[in-house]
Amino acid sequence: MLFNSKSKLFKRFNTADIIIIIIAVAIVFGLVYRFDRERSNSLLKSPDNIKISFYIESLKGASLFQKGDTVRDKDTNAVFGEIHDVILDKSIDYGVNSEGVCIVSSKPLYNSVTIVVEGKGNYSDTGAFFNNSAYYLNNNITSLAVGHMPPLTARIIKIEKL
Amino acid sequence: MLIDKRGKLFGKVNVADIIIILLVFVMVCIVFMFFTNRNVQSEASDTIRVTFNVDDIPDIFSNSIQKGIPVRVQKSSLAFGKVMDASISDMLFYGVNSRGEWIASPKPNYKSASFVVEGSGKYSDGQALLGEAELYPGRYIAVVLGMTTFWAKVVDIEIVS
Repeated sequence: MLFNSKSKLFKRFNTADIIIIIIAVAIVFGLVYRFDRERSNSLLKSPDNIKISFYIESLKGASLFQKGDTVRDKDTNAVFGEIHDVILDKSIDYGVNSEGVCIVSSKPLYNSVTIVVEGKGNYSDTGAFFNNSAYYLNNNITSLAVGHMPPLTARIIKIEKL
Repeated sequence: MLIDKRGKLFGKVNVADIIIILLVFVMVCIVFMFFTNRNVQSEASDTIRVTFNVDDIPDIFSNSIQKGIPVRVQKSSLAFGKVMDASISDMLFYGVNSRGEWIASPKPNYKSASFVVEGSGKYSDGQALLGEAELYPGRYIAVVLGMTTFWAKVVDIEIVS
């Protein structure tokens, strides 16, 4: 018998205690679910391999990025993974001509950069989760730490599940 | 004593039965919550349309705003309505010409968007509560459409019914 003659489980817990504990646990789960539905889901899932691409229109010194460098969000401490590829192109900078019209040109010594990162996270159709923080396409990450470089501002342009 | 020596409440119901009933009840509640947006619909009474404007949309994401897509608050990930109408236009860039005059011209590679979201909620004094989204004209809010997030400005709120 789990319950003895005093209706105590294992001679320690009163059934009323157990009911209260169950209700408390249910309330905690309910609150977590209500305020953080997707994040709580992500806790229950095993991690996925995710490829995530960050884009910077104009950056000096982009050639210092190397494959294998760790990439993370300094604000949340979420680790996205390691650099799988770095794609450099002409920088994209905006200026105004004499007519006041916006024009695009490239700044010497600067590049546009796509940083392709592979790492572990939780992927869903509504976003990706790294270290329990949600990330979406078009997210502007204002403290992207790449290797030992100073934090950068970069936009998420692609998220794929591998 | 509410519970007698045989572990029965009022001498009739076994406490183990009560625990099982409670567990089943809690599980049913959790399952129900998983399949519905209970909090979005709980106090809904008005059908409300909210118009959002978004600037600085990279060209590659301008197609993400389409009719029928659910719109969620980024902070809570809860949907509060669906896109009913959307229009994409060139993003305007303001520059000064050689005569010192302000000129508006399209910013290459970027778009602006205006989209209308319809949902159920409460409306009062020009403000709307759609799900967990407290919206009022002028407010900026991070919204997610599909997998894409936008920093959107509320420009108009109206009651449909």
